[in-house]
Amino acid sequence: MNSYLGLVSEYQKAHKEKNRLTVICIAISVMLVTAIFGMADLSIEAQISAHIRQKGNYHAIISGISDSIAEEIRSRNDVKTAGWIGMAEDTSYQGKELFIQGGEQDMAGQMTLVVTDGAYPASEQEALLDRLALAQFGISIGDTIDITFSNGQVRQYTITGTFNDFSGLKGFDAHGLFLSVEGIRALGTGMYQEYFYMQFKSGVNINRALSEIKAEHGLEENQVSVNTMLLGLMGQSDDSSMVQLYITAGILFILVTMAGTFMIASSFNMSVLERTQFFGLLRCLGATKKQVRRYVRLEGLRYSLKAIPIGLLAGCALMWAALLFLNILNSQYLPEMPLLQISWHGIAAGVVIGFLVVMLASRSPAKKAAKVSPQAAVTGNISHTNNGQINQASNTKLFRVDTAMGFNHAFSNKKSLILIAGSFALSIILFVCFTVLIDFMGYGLKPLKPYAPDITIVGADNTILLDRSLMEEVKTLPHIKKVYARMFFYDIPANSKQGDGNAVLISYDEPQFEWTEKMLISGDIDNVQNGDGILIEHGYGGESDWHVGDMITLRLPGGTHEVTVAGILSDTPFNAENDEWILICSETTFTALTGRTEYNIIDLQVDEDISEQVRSFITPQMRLLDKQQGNREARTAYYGMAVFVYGFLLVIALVALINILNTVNASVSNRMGNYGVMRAVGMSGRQLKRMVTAEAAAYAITGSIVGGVLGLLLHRFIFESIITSNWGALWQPPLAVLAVTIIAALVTTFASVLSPTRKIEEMSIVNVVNAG
Amino acid sequence: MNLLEVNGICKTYGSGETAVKALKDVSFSVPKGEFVAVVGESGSGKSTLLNMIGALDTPTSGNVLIDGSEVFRMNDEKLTIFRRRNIGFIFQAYNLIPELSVEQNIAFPVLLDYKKPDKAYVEEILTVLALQERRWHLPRQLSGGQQQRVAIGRALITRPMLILADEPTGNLDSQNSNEVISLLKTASKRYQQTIIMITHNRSIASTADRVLQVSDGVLTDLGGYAE
Repeated sequence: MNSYLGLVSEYQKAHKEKNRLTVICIAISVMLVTAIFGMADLSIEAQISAHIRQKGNYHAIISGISDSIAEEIRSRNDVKTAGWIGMAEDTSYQGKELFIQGGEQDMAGQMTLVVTDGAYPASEQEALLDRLALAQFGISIGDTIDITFSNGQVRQYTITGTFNDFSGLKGFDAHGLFLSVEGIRALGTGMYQEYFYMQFKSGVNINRALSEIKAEHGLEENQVSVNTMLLGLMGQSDDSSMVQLYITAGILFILVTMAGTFMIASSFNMSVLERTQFFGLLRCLGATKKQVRRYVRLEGLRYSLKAIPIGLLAGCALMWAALLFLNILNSQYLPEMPLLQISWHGIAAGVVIGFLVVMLASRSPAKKAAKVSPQAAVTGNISHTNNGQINQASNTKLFRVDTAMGFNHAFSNKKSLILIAGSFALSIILFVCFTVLIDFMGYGLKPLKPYAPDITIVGADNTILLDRSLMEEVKTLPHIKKVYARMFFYDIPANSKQGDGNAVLISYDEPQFEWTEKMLISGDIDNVQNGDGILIEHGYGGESDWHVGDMITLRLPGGTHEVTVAGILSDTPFNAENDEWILICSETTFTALTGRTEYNIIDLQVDEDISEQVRSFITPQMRLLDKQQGNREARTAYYGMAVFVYGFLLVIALVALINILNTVNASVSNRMGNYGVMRAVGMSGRQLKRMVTAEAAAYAITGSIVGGVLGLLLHRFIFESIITSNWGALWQPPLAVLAVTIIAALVTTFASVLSPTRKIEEMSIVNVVNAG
Repeated sequence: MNLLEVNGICKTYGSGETAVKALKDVSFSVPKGEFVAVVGESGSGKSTLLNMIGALDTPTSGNVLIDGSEVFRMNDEKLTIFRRRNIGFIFQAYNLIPELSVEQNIAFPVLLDYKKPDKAYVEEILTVLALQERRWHLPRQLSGGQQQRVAIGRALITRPMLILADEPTGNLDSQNSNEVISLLKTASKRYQQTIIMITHNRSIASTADRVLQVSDGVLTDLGGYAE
């Protein structure tokens, strides 16, 4: 030992267990911060790449500028790439809708157009056609096609290549023709709109750059629009709903940081205060107050050096475990995401927060340690509790002495109570607040409904009906999970006690009735499926107040019929236009009322792509809407976010669990001396257990009450700022989540008492008592 | 009749070459009401012996009988309750419970039995120990001598047959030491208690009925103080 500070390492060697508890506490908080920030980082990256994949990689669009201004903008230092993309009016080719676009190759590539075969069009007579169109129309690369535009002009294009499938095209049974810039411009004024797409270099303040561009070239506000979603994800949006999201992220950031801070501060506080006597001894042997403070700080530094790397590693491991776990659950829908990613932001946050908090946390115990009177330390005339002075005696009148002392341990020192109960409370608040993200995800990224079809067959317009034989034919195909169809009868003048209205009658078959059961608010579906009743959607805002048993008179072409409301639905897959009443009935009822048997729409859910086989059954008057790719993309986006939201919750739950276990353990370890004396004067193991449980319960109950109240308030605030403001949904107290969280916290607390009390029972009373 | 019988107690710490024999075949007995002083050098094994008698530690071999009960045959729970009701401890470092008041500290062993302390008896102890004025005070608000008096009160509250005191005056000045010892003696006389006390203080040892000397783990009965 070359300096008095060498005692730090000697002391730590001699007290490995106590040392370990403090190191674990710091490591846990670093783990929490690293895992949460790391996951947030990866989540944003995943969202950005999903958004770019779906919508293209651009930051802003400018319209109505000349080529020369465009060139000037393109040559700016902060612009990475820019180019023209034009859109012509839609037209049709061989009876199918044809979207026509064109643009510069670089920018088209950024907009996710990938030439899979052939070459990008070079002249105004050249074009790319989507892969499906080549197959469906029997066109090969090098062929020439004639396209008729809405103004009557007919243009001839040589197909130079084909591009990747777009879900947008397949979902509408439409095709896409992609031209060069020259090609789109050759259509003539009024036939197309052209936009200048821009992508800035990374690190550029995009809003400022756009303001400069606007000012420099005298552009109007409406000439420039930004990619709000992408800028939002990059943290650069000033859009009000994005700002609300940033505030929410900020609150969650502060909560995570606070949780980390509380955990470290409480463990450090306990570790230093229990050694008041030791520090007194140092003072007695001649250490100055400054030296004691320096000693405590060096100790903190050593703890950090040991705990932070452990925390970082554990944080990354936890993040990987969460990703892996959720990946296994939803492997088929997850976006491609390397599992063993490292988030440098998360690691940096872990290091900075861990180090700063330990250093800050060591300030106050260092001061307290320095204040210990040397005389008090050596004569033993000092409080044995680690938690400083006790100002009030235990209430042995209200409670038994063991319980009373347990409560007294918890409540006698406000600082410890705040730190320990505070870290309990923060765990609860964190968990409750992060669950808002699940609701947010539910609203923001519509998960696929169970009734979402993969393939839909529909008439080119409402008058074209599908014969029942088509349904039977389709059913014979392999890889079909479900086939279901609907008949529609629009614009039926109707009357009920609510007054006159317009109704749409829709028929359901078995699978659809099954899905509908979950949306039934009142009534009975059986009376509809097997009887002649109808289901009606409960209107929003109470403007339509339907009851089971209400009669509706329908004036159908075949005569007037009365139907009875047999069930009220909370929601239907249909949007009522002009306040129409949406009436759902069985196929038998539909045919009895309207005399019709042909379907308007047939839906298929499949487990393999059989769109080509289905296509072989349909006539040119029908359209095949292939939503498989779109569904896949929607699922990917949903699960991509779900991975992180549930990952956050998993991490928080785990950390809260470990934190509670460790806090109780540390609290008991630090009072070991006290417990020894109690054992010596006759306290039994059971009584000690009761005392420790009372203490832990006091922390857990106080923490749960504070955490519950603050958690609810914050939950409401976050819910209203990110959900109510966007979708109008009203806040409901998340009582189930709160109850589960609190019960979990309490159960963990009581479970965590088991191991330390066993330790007390097994300890040697002699060593403790003689240690003074 | 002997209240305490110690038969062939051995205590060895560690094993093999590092084994340390703290007590070597110690046997003696103490009749009821006797005041015994245990003297010896530091590290001679006095405290180990006292811990064995109080069943705070278990011997490697041998047994201890208190009032005819063999303490090491009891299970932990039974032993705890036996200790609580029959043995009073007084430690050099007082070892009071910081979160309990003077009165609660004294009544603590009774409270552990979930019984109401006998008010008159608590009052009597407080009076004998001159602690009436301090009954609501917490240990940290007391002087060392006062804290040791509270510890004595705690040792007396259950009217134990045996009081074990490990250098109870070690942290006190001579005036406080004399006071504490005379209080202990008065109390033991009044309540017919047996006291075994470790001390380094020769004048205190000289007031004992009998002196036992422990040297290198071996006990010698010096009889009445002979110096």
